[in-house]
Amino acid sequence: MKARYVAGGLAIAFGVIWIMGITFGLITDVLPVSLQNPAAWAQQIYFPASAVSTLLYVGFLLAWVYYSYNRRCANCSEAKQTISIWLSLLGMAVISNIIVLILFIQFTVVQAPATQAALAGASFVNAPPYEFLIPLTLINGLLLFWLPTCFLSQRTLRFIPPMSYELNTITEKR
Amino acid sequence: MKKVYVLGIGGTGAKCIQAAVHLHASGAYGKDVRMGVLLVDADASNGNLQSARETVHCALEAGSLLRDTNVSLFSGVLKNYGYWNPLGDYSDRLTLSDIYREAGLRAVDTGLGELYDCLVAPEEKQADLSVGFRGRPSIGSAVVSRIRSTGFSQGPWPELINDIQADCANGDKPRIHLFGSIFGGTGSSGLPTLGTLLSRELKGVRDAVEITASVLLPYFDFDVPDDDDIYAEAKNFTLNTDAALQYLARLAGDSFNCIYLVGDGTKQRYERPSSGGPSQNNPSSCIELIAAAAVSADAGSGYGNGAYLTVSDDSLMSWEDFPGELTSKSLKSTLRTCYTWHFNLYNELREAQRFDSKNSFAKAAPWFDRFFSLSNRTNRPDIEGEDQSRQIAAFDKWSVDFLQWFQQLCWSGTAREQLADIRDVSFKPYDGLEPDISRVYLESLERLVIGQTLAKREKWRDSIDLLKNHLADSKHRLEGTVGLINNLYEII
Repeated sequence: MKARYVAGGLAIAFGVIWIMGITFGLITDVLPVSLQNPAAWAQQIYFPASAVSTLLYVGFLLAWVYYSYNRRCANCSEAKQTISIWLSLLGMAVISNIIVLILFIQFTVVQAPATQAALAGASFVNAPPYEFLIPLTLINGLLLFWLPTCFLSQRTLRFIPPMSYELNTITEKR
Repeated sequence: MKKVYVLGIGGTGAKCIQAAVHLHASGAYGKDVRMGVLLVDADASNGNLQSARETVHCALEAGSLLRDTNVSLFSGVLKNYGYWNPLGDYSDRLTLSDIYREAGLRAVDTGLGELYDCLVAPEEKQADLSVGFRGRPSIGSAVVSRIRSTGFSQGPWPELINDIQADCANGDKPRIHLFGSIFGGTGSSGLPTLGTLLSRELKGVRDAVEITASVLLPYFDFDVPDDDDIYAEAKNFTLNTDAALQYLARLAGDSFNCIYLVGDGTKQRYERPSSGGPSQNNPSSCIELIAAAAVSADAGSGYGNGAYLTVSDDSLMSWEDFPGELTSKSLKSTLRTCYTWHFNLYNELREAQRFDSKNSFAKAAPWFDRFFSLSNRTNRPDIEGEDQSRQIAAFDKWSVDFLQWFQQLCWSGTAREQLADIRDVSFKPYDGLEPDISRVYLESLERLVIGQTLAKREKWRDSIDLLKNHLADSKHRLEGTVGLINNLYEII
């Protein structure tokens, strides 16, 4: 199997680990989120949202791979113009990630045992961590769309994603 | 290495030479062939002769710059012996009376003068021969046979004869193939005469040399030209043919190992007739291609051995009609390569030359960095280098010449649709360094070659984009323009 396809597979695997594992850990243990029960919130809202988002990212990725495989370009300038399609798909992937997060946050009620502070009657702000989640979607987009497309784009469009030519020179001598 | 010497005599001979040179460059005669070319015509300004000389020149230049001995395209060596004018020694005397010094002839011997009057009509005596023999074999024979007095010691002949004798000395079996029409003036007089004289001149090595000829029977027709002078007349074609064939059968036949007679039941009509000069530039025809294909046929021995005829009864020529194992295959590949070059790769390369960052170009053209360098990091040729510009210009010039010729073949039938569906454009070489905007980009070759359908797994070869991707994904022996063209020819 070509090294670039292996690299593409690894990029997807890393993206999945990032979105569903590392980010999960960041929410529960690292980031200063204002949540009553970060672990329960992450488990019941972030995890399913990230799973759906991952599927969407993979869907957009496959759409690009399919498009690049089937697109015939008469010349270089025609091929260059397809960057707009790639950017649109990246934009749609990130926006869909944000929409999925919002939908899950808005329509899911977190079931969690009351904390000591709540039982004592203390007021508590249970604010979804949008300030972290929104920037993180950009990283999700880079890891689950940009990086895999760098290795998995087909035929004439193989180097259309930004930096893909440079990244491919790592896996393939040109 | 196989050695072939082709001699084109007269306007039709020149057209056959054009076809032979294109077949040779396409690899239709095989990879390991050296072909020497000599053109013979009394009419130095003849349009067909000029076209043939241009074709030889283009093929020589492209071949020397783009040859890859592993690939059929340009794999054969071409040697140009130039042009020989039978009137060469009499350039200040351009009528038959001048050449035979009529006044002196009469002064010396009145009887000879009267015999001369008997054999030559008054208008033939005074006809300006600088535009050829005007469809009169009697004039041509009288002029061409005078080469006997020089013993092939003038013009390109000594070099040609020496090379043939050297080939024989090296143990090769060279082949001399003559082309000419049998119904006009120069060809019908020059072909049997030169064949016979060459056979005699090479008598020491005659057994080691094959002398063959493609003789073209009347295959075109035209109206009476506008000038007042004497001219070739289509009504004389049958008479000329009959006389020349009888001469070939009785007197010259033994000089040839094999003579191929080529003709067509349907005569093509030329709309703008000419008695000679630059205006005699008739379009090429498939008949000349068939005549040229005879060069690679086994000569056998004896007169009348082998004849090429079209195999189909259809009024349109098809690929199966061309003789020779490699003829159709090589021509199809060359046509597809030239077409892809003309309507796609040429402008792509010119576009690449305009990019300051070659890296930026390669990102949307992944084949590019397989042949050309993007920076000083690789040893590949620089697309802006002078050598690359020369190669691009040489191949473009040759491919334009090939496409012009092939377009004429395609349009020479009863309808403008035989062999290939070529765009109705005027193919012209382009001198500029920027893309040629008149060449509209083409993506698919699917309908180019009529009757060619690729197997499903081979369909990708109809897409220029996929061909370029194939080039991007494979390793190449040669890089630069020469690598690009030869690899394209191999996969196309």
